[in-house]
Amino acid sequence: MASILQVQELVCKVSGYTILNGLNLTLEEGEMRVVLGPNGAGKTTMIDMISGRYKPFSGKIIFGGKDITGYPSHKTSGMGIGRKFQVPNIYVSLTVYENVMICSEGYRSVFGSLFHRPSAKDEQNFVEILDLIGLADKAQDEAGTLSHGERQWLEIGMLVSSNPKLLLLDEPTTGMTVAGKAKTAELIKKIAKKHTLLVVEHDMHFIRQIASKITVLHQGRVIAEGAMHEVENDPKVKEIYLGKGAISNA
Amino acid sequence: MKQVLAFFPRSGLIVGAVILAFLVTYPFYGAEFRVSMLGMFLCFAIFAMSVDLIWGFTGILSLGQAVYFGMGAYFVALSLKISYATVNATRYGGTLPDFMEWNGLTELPQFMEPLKNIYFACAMGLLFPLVFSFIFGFFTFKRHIYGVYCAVITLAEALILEQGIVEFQAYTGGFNGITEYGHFATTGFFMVILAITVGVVILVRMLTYSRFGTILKSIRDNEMRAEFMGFEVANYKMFVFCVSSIIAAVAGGLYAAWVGIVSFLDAGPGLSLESVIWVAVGGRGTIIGPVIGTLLVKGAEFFLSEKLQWIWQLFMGALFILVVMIAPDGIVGSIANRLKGKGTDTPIYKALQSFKNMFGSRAVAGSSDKSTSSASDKR
Amino acid sequence: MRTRCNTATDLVPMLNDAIISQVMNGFSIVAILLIVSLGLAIIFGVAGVINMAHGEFIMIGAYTAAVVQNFLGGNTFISIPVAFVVVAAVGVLVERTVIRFLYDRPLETLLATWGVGIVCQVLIKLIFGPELYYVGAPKVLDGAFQVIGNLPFSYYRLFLILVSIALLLITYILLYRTDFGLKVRAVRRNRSITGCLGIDTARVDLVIFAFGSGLAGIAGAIVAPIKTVSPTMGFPYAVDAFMVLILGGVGKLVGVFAGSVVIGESETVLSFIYNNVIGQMLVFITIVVLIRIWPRGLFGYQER
Repeated sequence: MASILQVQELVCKVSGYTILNGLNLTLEEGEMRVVLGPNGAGKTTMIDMISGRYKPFSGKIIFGGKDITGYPSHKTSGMGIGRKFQVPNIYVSLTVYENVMICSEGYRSVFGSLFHRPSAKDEQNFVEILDLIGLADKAQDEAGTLSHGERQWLEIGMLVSSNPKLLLLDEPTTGMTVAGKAKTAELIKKIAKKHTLLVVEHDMHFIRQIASKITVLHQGRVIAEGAMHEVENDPKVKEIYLGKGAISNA
Repeated sequence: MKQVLAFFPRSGLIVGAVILAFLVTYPFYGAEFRVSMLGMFLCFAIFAMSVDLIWGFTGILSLGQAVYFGMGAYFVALSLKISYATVNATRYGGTLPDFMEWNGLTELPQFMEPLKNIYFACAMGLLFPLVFSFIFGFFTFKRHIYGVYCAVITLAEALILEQGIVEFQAYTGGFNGITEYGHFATTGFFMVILAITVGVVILVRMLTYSRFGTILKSIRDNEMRAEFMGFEVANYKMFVFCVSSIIAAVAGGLYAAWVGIVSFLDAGPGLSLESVIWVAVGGRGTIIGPVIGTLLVKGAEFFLSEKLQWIWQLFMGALFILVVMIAPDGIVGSIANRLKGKGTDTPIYKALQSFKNMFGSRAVAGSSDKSTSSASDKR
Repeated sequence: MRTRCNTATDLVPMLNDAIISQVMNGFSIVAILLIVSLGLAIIFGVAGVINMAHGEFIMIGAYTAAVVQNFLGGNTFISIPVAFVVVAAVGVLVERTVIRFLYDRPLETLLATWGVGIVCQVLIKLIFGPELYYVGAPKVLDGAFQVIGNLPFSYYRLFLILVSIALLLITYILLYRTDFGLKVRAVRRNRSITGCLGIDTARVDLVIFAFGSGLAGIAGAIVAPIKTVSPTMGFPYAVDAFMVLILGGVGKLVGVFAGSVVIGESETVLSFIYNNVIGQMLVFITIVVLIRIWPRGLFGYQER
């Protein structure tokens, strides 16, 4: 399996602080990777760099064999990198259905979208996605009326609609109830069958439910990588999470 | 034809047909000065729709759209004036427009020669705004300047153009503007204006009731999300901005031909801000809203300013404040909300509710607290 | 808005002299811009609202000076603090009735405050009528002194410059050296957390708005002697202030200073070479181009 994403020696400095300090990460195609780390470890910044929100100070990001370091966000999205924000970012005045519809793959350019009308097959696809995220019965509701958890799912649905090769999920269960998190875990597992996923998370219990390879970040570098049980028992990880009595559950 | 009609909801078509019937027949029985007013209002309504396109749908607040209205107006007025002057000698006896003469020009400036041809002038009146708005859009949107920054820059743009027009009075008629060039206030031309109004309504509807339109709304709602979904937001903004400027220029050209007077006021921040209020009152993000808003506000001005000028101005100022605070969706917007059963958290709805409750069953507590707490939540 | 330089007397000396004289003229223009923009900058920097009635607040300050000096026998030194208080009070009124509800909607605030500005103009016209008022400078500041050869520099202009520096310092001290200033900066950085820490963010907003408005009042009182007082005098100053903010950037006081310097000097020099209106156009075009490089202004928070 080819590696779809390679992050090499990524460095990010902001206002004198070095947030990422030589980050290295390789993601295989079809993999689901969880990135873990205490606050300030650089998880969101790493996603910012990959998705093109900010430019790195130095280092390389290679996606699908192409060097995309410094590419702006609309370009990385066009190449198939979908990014979910920590705070759900949806279109509040559009309906749930429209939110999913508007993100469908293709027809991104001005002239491309001017004359486009979705086909019946497209519409069926949207309904399937709405089913997947559990919001089919709210399809005609204004997205602004959704609860926080529902908004998270909607955003995931929007990303799925855009059919990305790589999905970057930044703390997708923030603010959810335990039941909500369980549902999200199921959703993520279903998505993982067809897409490559990089999930940033805090909640160990949730991570256990989606169970996969884990990368642990600390102060801008990778300090441990491996399966759940390997990482759990890694002394370095234990030190940064539990060493001073800190608890890893969010 | 059927495809075009498909863009509108049934109710909209019926209401539209009624309004159209009224407007089409009015010139035949209405008093002349009222018809003249109505024609002017329709020009403004076209202008208002152009503002709604970029503001209501895409979220770009430009406080300088009158710049494009003015460009269209001035090109047409200049052309008509130059042609008129060659035939009708002014009191100075020459063949030059009067404002040129009293500024000391003895012959028509080279670069203005082609304006004698009205078709050329119209073409320029469309080309100039297009190029100008494209360049402006390029500098503003490509660098992600939006929100208040964009609003303020467009305001400055309008102010500077206004001052420029007054300054270069030899070429523009300056403070007095361009007057007396034989205007086309005929029933036939009224129909032309009406036809173009309908045309713009259809055009804007087709643009916005489509994937393209939904994308515009998504940019308005959450620009960052759109950017991260692969939409090059700057391109979309530039496109609608250019389309809007052309529509505004058309409105300006029609206005110049219909009304017969054009001045710097038609290109400055005053008119620009007024147009925003028309859209806000009528309902932004709707298409018929701006038309209704324009007709209502302009109509009110017509009646109120006959009495005391200051009453009208006070009303205008209050309108800016109140519309924004209590009825942000405007008239048509609020009606649409009511019909769809949403929009129950706008202050005007709550005000009506509590009013109703005062006379009916026991009032539900806390409705006025919610608006302040949700305002501070979102911050 | 500002007096066109009198080229008739400058034609004779060498061009160098003329340019230097313009640059010095520019100092007082810069000072005016600084005073006029400071209030707006603080309000925008902290609360993110643009007060479109800022010009009218300046105008009210000028009218206050007119009342104090023409009807109550005061002079500029008195009308400055009085104008501060009066316009700050107006600011409190506007904040409580209008702005307070619109903090999360900056574009709407723009429109609503424009309406406030119109209302202010109408009320002033009703009270004072549309005639122009003239406000005199204090006698003690009459006259000029010689600077660099025989170029005169009026005492009042020097006074202007000193006041602008003083206001800048006072604002700096308020924001960076007081407890209150710390709260203000905390609110600016992270409003919700600061609220959670028990700081009354609504009160901070109110005080800041009042302070910024008061500064506008001072600006009005201080420019009243050099500009005729009329209901519409404020708008051009407001637009200038906006440009200073856009160019200089919001968030640091040095941005307001830099913006004022760049715009003030270039407008003065360009207006001298061409004329007022062309000078303004050129400055505007320059700003639009510069914004391309620094979208949030010279000293704003830039994208990484």
